[in-house]
Amino acid sequence: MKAKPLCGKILRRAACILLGAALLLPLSGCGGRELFERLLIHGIGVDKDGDGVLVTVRSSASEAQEELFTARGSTVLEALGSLTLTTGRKPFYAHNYLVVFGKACAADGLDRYLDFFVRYYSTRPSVELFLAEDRAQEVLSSEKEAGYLKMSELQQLSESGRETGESVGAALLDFVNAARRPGSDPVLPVVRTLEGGGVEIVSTAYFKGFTLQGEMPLKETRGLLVAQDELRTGEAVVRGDFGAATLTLSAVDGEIAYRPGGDGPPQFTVSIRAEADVSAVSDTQAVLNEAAYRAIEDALEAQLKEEIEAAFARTARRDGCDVFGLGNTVFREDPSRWRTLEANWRETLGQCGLDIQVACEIHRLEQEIFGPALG
Amino acid sequence: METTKHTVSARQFFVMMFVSHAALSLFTGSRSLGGGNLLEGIFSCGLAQLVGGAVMWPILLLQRRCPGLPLPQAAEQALGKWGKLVSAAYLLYLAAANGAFLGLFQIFLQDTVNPEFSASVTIVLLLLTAAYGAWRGIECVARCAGVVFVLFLLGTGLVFCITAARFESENLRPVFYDGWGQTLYGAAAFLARTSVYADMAVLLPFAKGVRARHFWGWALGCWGFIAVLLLLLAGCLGPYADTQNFPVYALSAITEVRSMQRLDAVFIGVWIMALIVRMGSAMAAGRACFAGIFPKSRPGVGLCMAAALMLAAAFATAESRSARMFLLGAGAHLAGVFLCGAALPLAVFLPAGRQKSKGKGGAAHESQTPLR
Repeated sequence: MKAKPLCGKILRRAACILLGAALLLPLSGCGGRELFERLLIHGIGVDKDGDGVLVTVRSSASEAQEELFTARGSTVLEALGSLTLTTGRKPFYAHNYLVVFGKACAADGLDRYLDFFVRYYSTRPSVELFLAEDRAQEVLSSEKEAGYLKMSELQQLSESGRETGESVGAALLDFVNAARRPGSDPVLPVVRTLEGGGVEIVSTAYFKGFTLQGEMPLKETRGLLVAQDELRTGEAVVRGDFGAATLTLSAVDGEIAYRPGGDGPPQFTVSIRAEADVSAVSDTQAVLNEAAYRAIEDALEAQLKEEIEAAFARTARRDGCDVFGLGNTVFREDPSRWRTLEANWRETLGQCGLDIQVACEIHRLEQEIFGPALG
Repeated sequence: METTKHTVSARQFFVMMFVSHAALSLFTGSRSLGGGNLLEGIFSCGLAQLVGGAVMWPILLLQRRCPGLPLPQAAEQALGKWGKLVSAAYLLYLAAANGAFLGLFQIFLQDTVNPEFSASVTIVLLLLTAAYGAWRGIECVARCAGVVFVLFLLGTGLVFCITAARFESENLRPVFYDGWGQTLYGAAAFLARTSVYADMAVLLPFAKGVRARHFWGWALGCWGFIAVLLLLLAGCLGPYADTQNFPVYALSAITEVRSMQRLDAVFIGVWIMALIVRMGSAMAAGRACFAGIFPKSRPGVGLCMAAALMLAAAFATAESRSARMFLLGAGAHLAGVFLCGAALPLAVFLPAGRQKSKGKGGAAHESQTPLR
């Protein structure tokens, strides 16, 4: 067998190492720019400004501090691009947490402002969207403890709002999908600045396609979340002969079922099953008896039903917005029926029947642990 | 009759073909499938694989009739000097098809990843690496494919598992809602992208113990991978996928786990590895075709020619609109698949059969082949 020449072996190994190393070089990131040459954007606010837009940008200045910039342009990208002239740095959107739109943008139709965030290469579909009660600039300029409110905290506000069950969360992906799906409309949390600093979620905006149609209070928001099976947990206060009971909701399941309903408008059944713990009771004896537990269950069922009905009456019956996604349910489950309904769905939506069935169970720990003697 | 040494097993060969084919799944989306219902793409892909079985039939028949004989040599024996035209057609098709996909990858890097990305340098390096593998031989590419196969499945599996948490049944559209048009168009589009049939036609003689079940295993595996990908695209991205040129890439960025939202490097690395395997096997096939046209040429010349043609096609696709319209057009690719996958192997198979029946085939013997 002929031995391979040593220089051939060395050449092959050298070629392997060089090619491997060279392949890694183009992946070194940031497009060949140093980090200090980048404007690392954490939050963007978009307001309508005449025929153009005013963008307010929050970027990281250091570990703890954020900077605030504003720029104008005829489009979102042009305005953001002009930041280079004032900062000397190129905007980098991959670290962006959220986008806040001014109310005027939403009334105008968000699609014309949103397209940049959908198309541009370095924007992310998981970025959180908010609607400002008035102007986005105010929200992004909000201060807290001798500095600007951090954008990560504002994003956290949306997540914690979902935890308490009174706020919707909407990533860009969810919003675009809800607006583009047949028989479905999107929602966004509405935020406003507080006098003492910081921001709070005040309501939920609902849209017809990409155009703002109205707002619903947080109580009705929970009705929407329960029906859509998106409520994780939350607190509910119910009142009755037992006084005022504060309940912690858990294991909430919601389901919307479609019933064809003959030739008339489609009928839907919303089935809710929820479990709850009694966290606090006022104006009553120390120990709850079985009758009190049943009364609390009835009160909770009535309250959840009322919240769902109120949300449906406001969004669907009054404004023709399908935030519950009822049309989408028909589209998926009965496509041939959807063909006949699609053209006039918004008018039909308000006539649809909504049968709400709520079954709540309060955990009776006192009875279960200490036995019937206390029942 | 010249036959080749079997250098890879059938399993290795079809793993290499799986990686080569799966590398193109990056370009899957509603725009390439002719409609917004990605679920119908699952049926389209299945249909394309079934039609692919028919396309593959002449190749398998030819291999059964002339076992171990590389297609360029089989063509020359069956068709005489016209056989060189067959080799030239394969060489051109392999270079054009794979170069076009490489050009599309360059567009992807510039359009979706970062316009400042040194995409042309990446393409050249990718091609050089693939050429090195092809120069070391088909066995080297197949072994590399085995490793890449595992990494590819792990990498895509990681992305799939993370994004599956965002699956929403509300995003799924009823299948065939707008008729069968999209499914049929999608099947043609999938078939047009299966240029690996040409690779199989040329490289199959270098694989040992190939049976029809290996092919169907490959077809089923490819369909399963694409089906899972399409299901996740439809359920996780929904209508948002319609707004993206490369929705598979967008899939890697939708997780709610913040630390996992920057999977771009993993994602691109996995796809570059798969493309190296694809280009390596295509170049190995191109090299064999070049040797069929110029039997006395040195192996390196054929390799350089195949690489140069691919690079030219890649840059033409990335830079020229008219070249892009032609090289990425489903019609041209579909014609190439039927020509190199079925028509040319059949054109070789029929005369080869007559010669064999006349006893002109002679005894098979092993000889040096252009592939190690």
